[in-house]
Amino acid sequence: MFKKLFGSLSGDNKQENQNYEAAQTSNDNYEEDYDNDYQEVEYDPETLHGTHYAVEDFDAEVAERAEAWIADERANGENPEEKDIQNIYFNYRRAVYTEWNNCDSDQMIRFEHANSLKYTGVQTSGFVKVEDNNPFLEPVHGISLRDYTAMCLKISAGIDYQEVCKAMGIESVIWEELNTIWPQRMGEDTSFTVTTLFGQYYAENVTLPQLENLKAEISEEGLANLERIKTDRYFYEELAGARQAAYEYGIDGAQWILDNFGINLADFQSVAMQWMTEQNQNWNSEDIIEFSNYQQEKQKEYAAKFAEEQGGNIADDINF
Amino acid sequence: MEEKKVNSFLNRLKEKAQNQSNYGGEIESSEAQMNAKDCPNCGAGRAKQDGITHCAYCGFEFLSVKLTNGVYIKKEDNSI
Amino acid sequence: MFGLFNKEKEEAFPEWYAELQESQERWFSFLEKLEAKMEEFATVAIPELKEIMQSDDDLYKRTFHRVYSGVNGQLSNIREKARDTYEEKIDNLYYQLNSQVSVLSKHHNLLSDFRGACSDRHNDFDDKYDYWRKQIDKTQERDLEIEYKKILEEYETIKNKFNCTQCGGTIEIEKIFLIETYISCPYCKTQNTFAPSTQGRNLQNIARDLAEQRTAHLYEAFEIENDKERILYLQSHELGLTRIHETDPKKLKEIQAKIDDLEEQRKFAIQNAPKLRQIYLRAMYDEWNKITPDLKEHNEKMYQNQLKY
Repeated sequence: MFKKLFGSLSGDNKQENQNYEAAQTSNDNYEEDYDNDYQEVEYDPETLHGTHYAVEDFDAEVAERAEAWIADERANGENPEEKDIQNIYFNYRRAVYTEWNNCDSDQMIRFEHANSLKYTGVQTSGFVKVEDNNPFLEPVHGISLRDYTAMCLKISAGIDYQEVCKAMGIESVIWEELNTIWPQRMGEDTSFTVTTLFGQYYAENVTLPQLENLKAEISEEGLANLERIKTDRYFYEELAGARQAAYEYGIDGAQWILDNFGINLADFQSVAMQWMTEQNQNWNSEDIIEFSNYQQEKQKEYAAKFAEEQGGNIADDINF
Repeated sequence: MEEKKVNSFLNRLKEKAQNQSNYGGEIESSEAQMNAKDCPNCGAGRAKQDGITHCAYCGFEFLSVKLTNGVYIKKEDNSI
Repeated sequence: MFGLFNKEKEEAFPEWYAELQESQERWFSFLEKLEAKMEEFATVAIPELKEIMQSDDDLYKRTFHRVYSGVNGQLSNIREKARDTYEEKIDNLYYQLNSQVSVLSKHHNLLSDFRGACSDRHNDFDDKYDYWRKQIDKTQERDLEIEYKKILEEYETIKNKFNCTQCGGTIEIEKIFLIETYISCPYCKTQNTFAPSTQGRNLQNIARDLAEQRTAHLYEAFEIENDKERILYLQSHELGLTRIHETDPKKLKEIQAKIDDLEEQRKFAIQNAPKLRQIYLRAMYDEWNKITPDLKEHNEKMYQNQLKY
């Protein structure tokens, strides 16, 4: 039921941004050039701008450089479209930020995430900015997005939706309206606030007092494994890789994780969101590459195991 | 020889897929249904003009939430 | 090891050329075998997939999706095998020799030809992969008109079948409801809860795809127009190249006229494609709204969003 929602949380919602983000795989470090007068830059905890300049000055500098470039283009007979203009601003923001803060590209990415709503109109998990009176966040039949997420968590964990409705004091008719309207809002909101916030709540495993008594069944082994994927990133990546491999061999990954590790889909997705949010907040390209490689390695290992159960891959006997 | 391998792989794949249970249980196909719930407190039926959140006779709370405009539900459906 | 710098003046082919030739032959033969295997597997799998799609009773066709994923997994496995082998056996050899053979050497072209030929052959392999993936993707198509018809027929059979649990009066179901809803009895006003059948609920799930199927011809028209820009550009570019050795002023004029004409067409295609896209989108959403009118308000917002991109 929530596969579509998770698709948009983890990657698809960035499709409009693909014009802008090149894969940041290396961490460019300019700090060596300034060894002698190096002073630790202090960053504002919310905006991640350096505290030694004003944000208005930053925005003005970016605008000045960008508009000069655009004027140049026009003088040469080119007509930059809206998308091109946004790209130009995007690149100058990066340049000015890096210059003025004398920082590496990991810090620059963290800055971008913290300001994604302001500069690109799209939210980033871990940095969601919520305004009051956002019409997309109005409660639906008195149920807020946070409440809705708490209900979804219980249902994905395996609890009967009728039980959840009863605990919330509503009937199934209301639940079905909630389950129609909240996803609609996620689709309509082009800033992805609803989607990203839902993801954040999911990652936080939000709950409500009235739902506390509804506990999904989880074995002791499952509980232990759940604790482990929350704290041991390598173990989490191993299971994520195994899950991918399972799908490639015709096995439902979610069911496989439940059968072999006792962890249900809701808990697994919640932890996945936690790691992703943490990654955004503490962007470190070296770590990201390491974990990505590790997951792929594990995926290959498990794929080999699944292949064996199938009698091998069909092209095993073809060699160079 | 090679043809067998491709066929046997496919058959095993099919079998495994068919035998695996769907996550969250099988979805049972159900027919359309119509039901009415009387007030569990006083036994009265629920009438449209009284709204759907509370019983018009004894005030029993069917729905503990305030309804807004939804897909089919309207905020006028709130009992006064 | 290769002793290149003294010998190259005398030899017709250097020592390493034999190894190059052998690698190339083996690479070509290897890819051919992989392609044959892809074809063999896909040819058997496709009818099976179609059959499973029909027989899978699950609302979300999950058995079908599992087999579908498994089939694609094998194709991916083959593609990865080709890529890994290219790196190990072709690229490696190329770079190894490239560091030893000077670019100025008259034999260097053998090396670059080798790499070019192997890379082109790899591209052909990828094209075949894409082709089979596309064929396999087609098994996902469902005849949604038939499924839609079943939903409409079911609605006809149930719309007058329900009576009020309180007074017994007939409650007419006025339309296909997508989710549970309260319906009040027209006689005694008692609030009843109507729960649509599983099939009725499925209408939401098939609506968009059905609308897209019905307007596929408009989408195709947009795609063709969209691709024109590149095609015309390349045609223009190639014509431009023919000017390089042309001295006859009359011929040059002709070529320029053709280039100008192609440029006119290209400019037209650039501004026409978005218009065709909008025509498609409007038609598709209109169909969608016909199928599930209760979702019209939401759909209109989605339509406006799509126009912006």
